[in-house]
Amino acid sequence: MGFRFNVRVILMSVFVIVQFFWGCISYQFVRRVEGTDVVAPGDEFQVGKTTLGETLSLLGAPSMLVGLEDRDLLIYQRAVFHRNRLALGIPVFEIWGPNVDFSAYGAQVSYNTLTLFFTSDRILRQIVFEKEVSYPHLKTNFEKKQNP
Amino acid sequence: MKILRATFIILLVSTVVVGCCAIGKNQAHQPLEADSLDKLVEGKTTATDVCTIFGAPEQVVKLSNGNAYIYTRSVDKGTAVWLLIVSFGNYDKQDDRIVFFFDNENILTHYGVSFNADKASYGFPF
Repeated sequence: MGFRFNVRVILMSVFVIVQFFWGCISYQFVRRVEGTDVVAPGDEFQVGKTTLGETLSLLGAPSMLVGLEDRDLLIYQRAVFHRNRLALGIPVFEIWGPNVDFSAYGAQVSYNTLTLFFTSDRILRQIVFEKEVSYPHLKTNFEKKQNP
Repeated sequence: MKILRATFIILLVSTVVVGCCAIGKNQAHQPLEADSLDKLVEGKTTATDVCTIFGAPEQVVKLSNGNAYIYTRSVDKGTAVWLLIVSFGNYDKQDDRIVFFFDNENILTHYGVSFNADKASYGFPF
C-alpha cells in the first residue's frame, strides 16, 4: 500500500512540476540550411586556363551571378543558420500586469562560399573560397575574438 | 477510485504528448523541365528561343560581355518537434536552377544546370 502511495505521489509531483514549468522554462534549437554543400576547388580549376563552360559543367548553375565592368562573378554558396534560445519566465499576467520573462539567445549564420571571377572573355581569373560552416556554433558565439 | 486514476493518467499523457510535431513544405515556381534543354544549341539558340521554351526568367543579370537569364524553382521542407520544455526546428531549402549565358547579340553561349530541389528533406537539426 505504501509503495502504491509513493508511486502516486511521485506521479503527481511529476505532473505538478511539468505543469508548473510549462511556459516558464523553454529551450529552442533551430537550424536552417539553404543550398547544397560547396567544396574547395580542386586542381581542375586553373587561373588563366579554365573556361566558363568547363566551370558550369563541373559545378552546375551558380547560386548568384554578378556582372562587373570588366569581369563576372559566379558565386556558389551554402548557408547554415543556427539559433539557440533559452527562456525563463513566470506567467503572472493573469494576476499582475506583464509577465516576468528572461531569455537568452544566440544566432549564427555560416556560409560556405566559392567565388569565381571570370574575364569578359570568360576565362577564370581568380578563385576565392571561404568555409565557415565547419566552425563550431556555440564556440563561435561565445568567443571574444577581436579583429586585428 | 478508478475514475480518478483514469483521469489522472489522461491528464498526464495529454500533458506529455500535446503539440508533438509538425511538418511543412513550400514550393516556389513550377518545376523546370530538364527535357527542354535538349532543344538548346549553344551558338545558335537565341534569348527569345529560351523565353519561348522556359517562359519569363526570374532574374536577368547584365554581364561584362552579354547577359544571363536565371530560372529558379525552390522547395523548402520544415520539421518542428516539441517535447515538453524543449523544441527543435529544422528547415531545408534547395533549388533547381538554370542559368543561361548570352553574348551581346543575345545568342546562347553557355548554360549551367543544378537540380537539387528534390534533395530538400525533413529531419532533425542535429
